[in-house]
Amino acid sequence: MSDAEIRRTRILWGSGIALLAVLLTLDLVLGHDAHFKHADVTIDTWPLFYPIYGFLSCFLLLLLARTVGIMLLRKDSYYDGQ
Amino acid sequence: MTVSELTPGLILLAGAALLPLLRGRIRQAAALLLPVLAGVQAWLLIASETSVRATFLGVEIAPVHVHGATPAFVTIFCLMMLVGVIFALNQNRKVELPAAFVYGGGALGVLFAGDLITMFVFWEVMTLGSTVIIFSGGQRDSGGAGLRYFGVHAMGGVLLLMGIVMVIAGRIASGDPDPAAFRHMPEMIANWSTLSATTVGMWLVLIGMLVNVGAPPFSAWLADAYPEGSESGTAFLSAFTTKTAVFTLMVAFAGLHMLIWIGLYMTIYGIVYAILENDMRRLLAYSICTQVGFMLVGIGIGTELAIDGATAHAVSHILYKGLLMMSAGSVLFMTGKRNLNQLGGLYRTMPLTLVCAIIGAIAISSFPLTSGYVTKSLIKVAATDMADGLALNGQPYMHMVWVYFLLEGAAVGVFLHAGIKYPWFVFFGKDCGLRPSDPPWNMRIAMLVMAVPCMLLGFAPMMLYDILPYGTSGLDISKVLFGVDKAVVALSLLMFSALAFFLLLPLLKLSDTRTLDTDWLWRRFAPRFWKDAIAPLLEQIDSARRQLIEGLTPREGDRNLPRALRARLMGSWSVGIPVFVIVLMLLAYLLVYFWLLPGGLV
Repeated sequence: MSDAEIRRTRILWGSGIALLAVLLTLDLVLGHDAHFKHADVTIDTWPLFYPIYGFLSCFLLLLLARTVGIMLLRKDSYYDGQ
Repeated sequence: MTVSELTPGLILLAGAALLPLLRGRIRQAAALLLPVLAGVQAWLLIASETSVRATFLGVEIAPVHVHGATPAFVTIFCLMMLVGVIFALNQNRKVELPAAFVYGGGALGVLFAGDLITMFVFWEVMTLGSTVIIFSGGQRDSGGAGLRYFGVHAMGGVLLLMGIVMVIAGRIASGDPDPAAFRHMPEMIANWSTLSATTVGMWLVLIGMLVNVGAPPFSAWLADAYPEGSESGTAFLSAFTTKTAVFTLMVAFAGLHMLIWIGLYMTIYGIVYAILENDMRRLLAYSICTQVGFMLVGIGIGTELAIDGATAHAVSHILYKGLLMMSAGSVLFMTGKRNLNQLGGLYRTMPLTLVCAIIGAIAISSFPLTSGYVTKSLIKVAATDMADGLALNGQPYMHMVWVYFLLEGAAVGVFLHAGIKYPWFVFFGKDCGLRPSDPPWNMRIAMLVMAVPCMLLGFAPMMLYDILPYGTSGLDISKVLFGVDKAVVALSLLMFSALAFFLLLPLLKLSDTRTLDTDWLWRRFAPRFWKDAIAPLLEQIDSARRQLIEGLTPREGDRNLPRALRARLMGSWSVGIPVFVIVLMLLAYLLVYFWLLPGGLV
């Protein structure tokens, strides 16, 4: 990577993390309404629920995919020559 | 039936017959004009609420009928047809464009089918058109993929036809005045677990439709066939087959709760396979599964808002998936590469394609103020409403709470593969060293035409909501969709999943691999089973038969026969000539019966 590219990557990471910080602050300040008014579920009103849920979902889906991959990944040419 | 009552699908089918006869600019002009004509005709029919009735085999049918979801679907189908033609203008394959018109004509025909028979006929027309599109794809495995696609859909079509016949027969037996009507099947919702000829028929209809929608276990056809179409062919393919099936499921089976679970499975399945996928267009094909899964959840919930949500989501999905498929097609067209690990860093020289891909990516990830956001949210709100509404009746409906949270999690997964992985590995990431320019002008225009509504609907959703089946009755969109708190929730989910994506980037390492899917059963298991188990068995039987015949003692008289004749009598011989003679005799019989003796014997 050239110097310019390294700098650009740093700027991108920096602005990304700044955005995350802004979102966290807004989440704490604004809070969220409960989606379920009668189903007695309030977990979605917890502070920072959605940031954590997004992060965890992504993590779990990647993990699930990799686990499935261990069993089902084959070479690209698996079906060739049939 | 007069010309003004013509079903719009026939306009495209007539175009398919006309296009091979035309050349050059006239061909291009005709191809551009026909989808517009079909759209105008469709809206004339919708505005006048035309319904055409006819009789077929003694059963009343309705070749033209406007369902609640027809206006939204037909508008987006005609737009996609037009944009697909623009995208395909520079390609010189002779068969693909007429095949696309057959395909689109079939799809439009289904949208206006008021009875099951008309629906089935256009359904099969669509299968033929799409199969030819795959055959003419010019990719490494287009021939094989086309055959497999046809096999799966022919099987689905047979199940559908059997089901339709049983449903119609059941309705005639129960004295239904309109037995062939293509309408909601509430008796299926109420009695789907009971066994009768009619419910078996409904099950078969359901399975036939689910094959086309890409539901398990037949979902593999989607990811097998779509990457084998041409750059432009796959753009057409991504729009019609699954969405037509969504439409038919919506008309016939809205509220069938089983569809919620099938839909949820499809969302997760599509995400997992797309995360592992290396072929960019196969990744987007798996992503179709995910998105159609969201629509099935809406259909399964079956409330007015949910049906509106599923319809709206089909519309926005055609927009952004068409855009993403066209951006991938542009990359393929300019580089000749289809695997993500051979691409990367193309942002330098393909700026317009990049912008269009990013617009498609943020729309599919349902960022606030994009089309995906204003449509997917309807389904999510419908899920929460249902949990609430049913809980009011004093029943615990925790499973709908789960549905809601799984939908939110799946939305993250969509962002993961279609929103970040696809653009990241194609346009950013490691530099592959290729420096292709943006594609030719027609492809650029096609992408721009799709990109505009992808964003526009996010700002002005009422343009779409107004043509939905129920007009999202009673929904206060400013309260449900818009507002800083809503945007913060949506953005937090997405941006923190992006953080996880980049932290876990090593887990997404690409390699020249493919993931086994259920098509393994018919691509690997069945041929191997035949070769290793059935064929040896047949050989054994054959050799036993030979030994038996050779072991027979010849009769006294046979010994006197010449050796050659004896061998022929005891051995086997070809039946070609006798069959040919019999065919000639039957032909002569037919000629005599129908031609030489007109009316004589009838």
